[in-house]
Amino acid sequence: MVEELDLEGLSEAALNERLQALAGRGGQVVLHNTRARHNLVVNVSGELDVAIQGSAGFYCCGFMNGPRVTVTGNVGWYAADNMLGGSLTVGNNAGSNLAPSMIGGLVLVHGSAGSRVGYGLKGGTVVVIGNVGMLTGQQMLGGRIVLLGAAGPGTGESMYGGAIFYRHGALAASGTNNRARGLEPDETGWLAALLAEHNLPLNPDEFECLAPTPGKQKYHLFKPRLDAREKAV
Amino acid sequence: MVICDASACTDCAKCIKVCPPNALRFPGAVEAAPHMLAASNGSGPSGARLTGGGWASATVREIQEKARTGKHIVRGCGTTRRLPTLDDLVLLPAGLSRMPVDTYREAAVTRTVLGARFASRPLVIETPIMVAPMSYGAISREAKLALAMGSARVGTAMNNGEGGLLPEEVEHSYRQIVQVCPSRFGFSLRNLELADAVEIVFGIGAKPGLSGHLMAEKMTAEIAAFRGLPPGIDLASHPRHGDIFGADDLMVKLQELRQITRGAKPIFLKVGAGRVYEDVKIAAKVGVDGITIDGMQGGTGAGPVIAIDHLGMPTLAAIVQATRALEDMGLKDEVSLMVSGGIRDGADVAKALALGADAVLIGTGAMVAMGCTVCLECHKGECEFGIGTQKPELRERLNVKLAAHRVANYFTAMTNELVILAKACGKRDVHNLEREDLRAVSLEACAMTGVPFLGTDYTFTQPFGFFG
Ligand SMILES: Cc1cc2nc3c(=O)[nH]c(=O)nc-3n(C[C@H](O)[C@H](O)[C@H](O)COP(=O)(O)O)c2cc1C
Ligand code: SF4
Repeated sequence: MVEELDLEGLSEAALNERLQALAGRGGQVVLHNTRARHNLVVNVSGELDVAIQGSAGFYCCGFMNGPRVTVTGNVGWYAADNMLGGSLTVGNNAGSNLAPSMIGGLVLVHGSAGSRVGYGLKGGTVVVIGNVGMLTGQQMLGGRIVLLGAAGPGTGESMYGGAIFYRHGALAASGTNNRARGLEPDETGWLAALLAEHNLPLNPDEFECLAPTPGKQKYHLFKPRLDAREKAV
Repeated sequence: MVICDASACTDCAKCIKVCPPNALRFPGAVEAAPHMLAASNGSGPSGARLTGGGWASATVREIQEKARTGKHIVRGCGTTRRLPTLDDLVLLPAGLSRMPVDTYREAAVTRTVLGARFASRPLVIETPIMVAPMSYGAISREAKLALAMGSARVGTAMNNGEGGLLPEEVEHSYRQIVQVCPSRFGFSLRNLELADAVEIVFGIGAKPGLSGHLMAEKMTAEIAAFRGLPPGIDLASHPRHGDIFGADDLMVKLQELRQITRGAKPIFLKVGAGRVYEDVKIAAKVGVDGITIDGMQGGTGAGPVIAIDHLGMPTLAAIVQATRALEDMGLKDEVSLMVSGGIRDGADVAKALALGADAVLIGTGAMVAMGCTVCLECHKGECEFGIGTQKPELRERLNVKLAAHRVANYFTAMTNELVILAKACGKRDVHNLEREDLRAVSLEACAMTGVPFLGTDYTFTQPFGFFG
């Protein structure tokens, strides 16, 4: 059964309670008139398909665990924050700080995303088909980020765990405390399956990966850049 | 006289600890502000060891260490600088102008309600003294457990800190505050469900503007697994919340957290004392239920000495700034104000309350109650008392039951002291202590707080409420 919900006159808290009441029954909900409102589908757990007709604001799908959410438009900053499970598919673009501290589940953005995708990511998978800004995967602890487009500077800055997959030559510059390597066999298989599942006509061979550098991390404090100069005689 | 061979001494401080008449002093404590001594060419507090040129020997040692390693120096505990403290204020007792309350026979109110602004289930504790958040990692599992058990005995709240929420901590605590730290180590929806109150952290007083530090010595496999990190790394954790990059976002984030906690649980915000007036105004404006201001004297498990000694604002000045901000907004009675940083006894608590705090939090003092000697070496993870360590053989040394008992005793004694002072000032409820009960004993404190100089009704800087 498909339930159509008009958000006009409905508070976010009331919406999320309604969704929670429907979750677990495997139903489908279509949300209209979302007008990029914040905190949509927050803390909803259980089986549920949610289709957002339009855009969502900040914190879309925060702390969510289970539902499959699609957004036809854009999502604002911090989508899928602290998400535990389920999926968020964004038809257009995502703001910055996509999936911060996400623990599990899948986030798929068809357009581009801002900076700091997967900040402090702990688990799950984040896929961005378009481009991303700087500092993707900063201090991520785990999980996987797959970048199909170009990535800004500082990618993988001070990663502690997890992996960032990107296409050869697509990184502007990687951050510190990570190293580029080829894909391991299990990663190749996993990536092939992911690409196939989402109809992305790419081959895992086109990708390489950033992983944390083992051992103690290096910090940016002071590093003189000494230019060669002619010494006075 | 003992002669110290400076070339052989490793600064382990063992001799100081075992000296029966306490005749030896710990260098870090004696040379409170080596940089100041150096700057003033040795005209600092008496007792500091100075080298030939008037440079404090601690300064010389610091320079030697930096020259050797090329690194800034990291250590545990709060600042050793001499800063104005709550000791620079006194309470004016009752006499004829107001009558005292019978110290030992009349009942006094210590029960404290925090976070009643928007939360439908505010935090109710039996004393306005809480255990400050100290992360599992910075201190041992046994120490966390002892703090939870000890604080439960006096009916006050425990706060988990950055390193996740231990099941035994929740099980044994009376009321559990759960932190939302930028790093989100060991944090998930479950933590919010288990919390009696939530605290979003924007910094601590010992190193405001910096993130959490946990040195490799404490990053054991167990701690690393609990935090989701690789073992053996020196951790400088996440500096900013990945999901709060500004005050506007915080406002929306609060709505999210309120939805998750069904509007029942108070949401607090902790910040290290810096631009306190502005920070408090922003926090109150975005809608928190309570604010914790952690002053510059606050402790830490590890941090750069340069930050510990030079960043921030002393607790004394910070309380006044926070109170002033809430009063200027007309929100003093709505938003709970909690204060930490260098609070040691009932007098500190009484004065903090008189200046406008609703409750205080104790970190270092609670560790001292369990056996800590504030050795400043907490970052090394070699705590011989089993508190600031993760080594099993050292952790074994902490008798959890005894430590819990001592924490409970310390909190009880401190609350008794608070009650004694409040009654002497003519108050039946400790929360009725007010700034009019205070006078400053130093010009610095007078200038900093706006509390009149002792023996006068005057202050020569910005007045503070009653005396305005
Ligand atoms: C060992 C230790 C660990 C700490 N860990 C945290 C922490 O995880 N989160 C936090 O907000 N503050 C932390 N702090 C700071 C305390 O919560 C508190 O702000 C400070 O200790 C108060 O000052 P006091 O030690 O003088 O009582 C820590 C302090 C110490 C001593
Ligand atoms: S005695 Fe132990 S707990 Fe106290 S500061 Fe030293 S190492 Fe830390």
